[in-house]
Amino acid sequence: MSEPAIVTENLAKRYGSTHAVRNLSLSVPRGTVFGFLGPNRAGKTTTIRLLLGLARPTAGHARVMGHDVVTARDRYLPQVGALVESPTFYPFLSGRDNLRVLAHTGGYHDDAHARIDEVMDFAGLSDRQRDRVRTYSLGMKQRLAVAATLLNRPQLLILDEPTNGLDPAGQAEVRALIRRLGQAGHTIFISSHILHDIEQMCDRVAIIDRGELLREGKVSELLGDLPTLRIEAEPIERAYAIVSSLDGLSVERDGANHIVVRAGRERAPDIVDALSRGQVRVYQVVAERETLEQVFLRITGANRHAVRRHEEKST
Amino acid sequence: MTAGLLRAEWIKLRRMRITWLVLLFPVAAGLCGAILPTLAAADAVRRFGARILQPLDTFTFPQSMLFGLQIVELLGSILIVVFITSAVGNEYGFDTWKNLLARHGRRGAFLLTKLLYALAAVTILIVIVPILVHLAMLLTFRAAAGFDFPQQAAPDGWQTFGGAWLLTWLRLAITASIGLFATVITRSGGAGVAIAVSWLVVDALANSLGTAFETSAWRSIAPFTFNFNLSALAAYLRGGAGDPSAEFILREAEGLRAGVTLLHSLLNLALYTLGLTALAMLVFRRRDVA
Repeated sequence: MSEPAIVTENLAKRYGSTHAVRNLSLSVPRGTVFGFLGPNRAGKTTTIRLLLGLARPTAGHARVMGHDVVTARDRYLPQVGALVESPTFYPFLSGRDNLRVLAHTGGYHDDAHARIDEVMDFAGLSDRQRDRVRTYSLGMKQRLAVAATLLNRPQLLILDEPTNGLDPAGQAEVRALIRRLGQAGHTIFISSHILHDIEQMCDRVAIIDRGELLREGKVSELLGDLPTLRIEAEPIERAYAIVSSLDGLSVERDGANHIVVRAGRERAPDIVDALSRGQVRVYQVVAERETLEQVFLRITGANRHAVRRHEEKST
Repeated sequence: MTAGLLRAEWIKLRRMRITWLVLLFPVAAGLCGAILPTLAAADAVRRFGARILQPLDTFTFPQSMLFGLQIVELLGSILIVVFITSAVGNEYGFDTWKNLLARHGRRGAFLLTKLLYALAAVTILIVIVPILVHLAMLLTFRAAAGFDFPQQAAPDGWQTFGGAWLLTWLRLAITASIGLFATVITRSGGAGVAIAVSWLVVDALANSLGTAFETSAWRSIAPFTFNFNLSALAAYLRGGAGDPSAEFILREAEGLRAGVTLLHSLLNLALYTLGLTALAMLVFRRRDVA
């Protein structure tokens, strides 16, 4: 079986006393679309920089396409297309010349002109390719940056916020492209704030915060992790008290007439039975599944809460 | 280093104004510096006759070409600093290193490519400008005075010119290495120019003060400045004996504590060129891209 496209083992990066990434162990199988999520300053971009050899790890190891990121950059970088943070180009060059610079830098000369035509066409920039980049809008630069990642027909795409600055149509195009590339067997490692996109595009996700991995798994597993039952009942206080007393259930109030119970639909009959015995009138029970955004907010929120409590204790 | 990096760099350089400024400004300055005094000389010849041709050795080989070299040396130091700091500093300024280094794993090759273009510019300048200056003097004089001034090359003309050519090339190569090093260390084109120019001034100052005053503290520093070692190398190339300036330098060198030898000068000059370049590459390879 081939080695995963990306493997990190206890990867860490420290800037002075700040731990940007700590003990990050990840595995991105080949052929998957992997979402990398985290709030601002979670360590996503630092991780991407480490994977691309732009920064050196303080501790731990990382291998990309089977090669060490510190000692064998020149072995794996030709197989990778990357977009790191905001798109940057030479403003005094045309969009096409910027791509020529990148193509030659990557050692990609053979059919560079034809390939540049293809990716320019994909980016919708064919008619502006001779214009200097300083005249491009942010959205055009973003599209050019995505086009640049495809120049060398990479096996692995590492994309840091690829839909930033794009209008809805542009975002949809990039989403469609990523899906197409994923279906074609490319491995895609993508960080994004747009969780709806990630939910739609990715097979697996990892959630990090403050440099630490909080959760990693298939999207379907994460979404099915903690399904909920939303119950409309009266009186709601008594309903809350009864459900709270049941074993292994977490319950929250939601508005004047609802409670949300963290439980699968298989627990619904027991809950309704208990409520009926407790003289509670049940109007509606809806089995819901969390969105990725809700999962993300719950996991990162809980982590931040735990960190805050730890800091308060230590002071 | 690969041909791809050279091609990529050329796509950028040919669109940068500084590239053409570096090449054209010394040419323009050389032509002005050649044509204006030649016109004045031709005018003097017309008025006072050919007998004043004797002191016009400025117009004969190798003096005419040495004059071109001096112009390149004078302007080239600053222009090459600006050229190399722009080529490297732009990547920091536009935050484009991350695009390049995410595509090509051999980081040192990027700096070598840029340095190679700087040295190519230096080489083009010190070949083209002296020839153009010489031709401009020749043709201007012929056009203005109506006849050629006698071209009686000194017997050791080519040797003198070759030595001067080599030293000018070496001086500009050192300047380029200092500019490269300063920009990589500061990660900024502007700061790189400031540090490199300051370095050039301090080096010249230390050399002058060290050789001028016997009791000066600069005396212990001077033998390690590149200006001192270039002068010493020039003296060795000229053979020393019989050349007043070479004798002066050698006498001064003997008076200095370090015991300046040819090996000392060559080692110092190698440190300024190869040493600084190697150090810049080492720092660039090991440092994170911000």
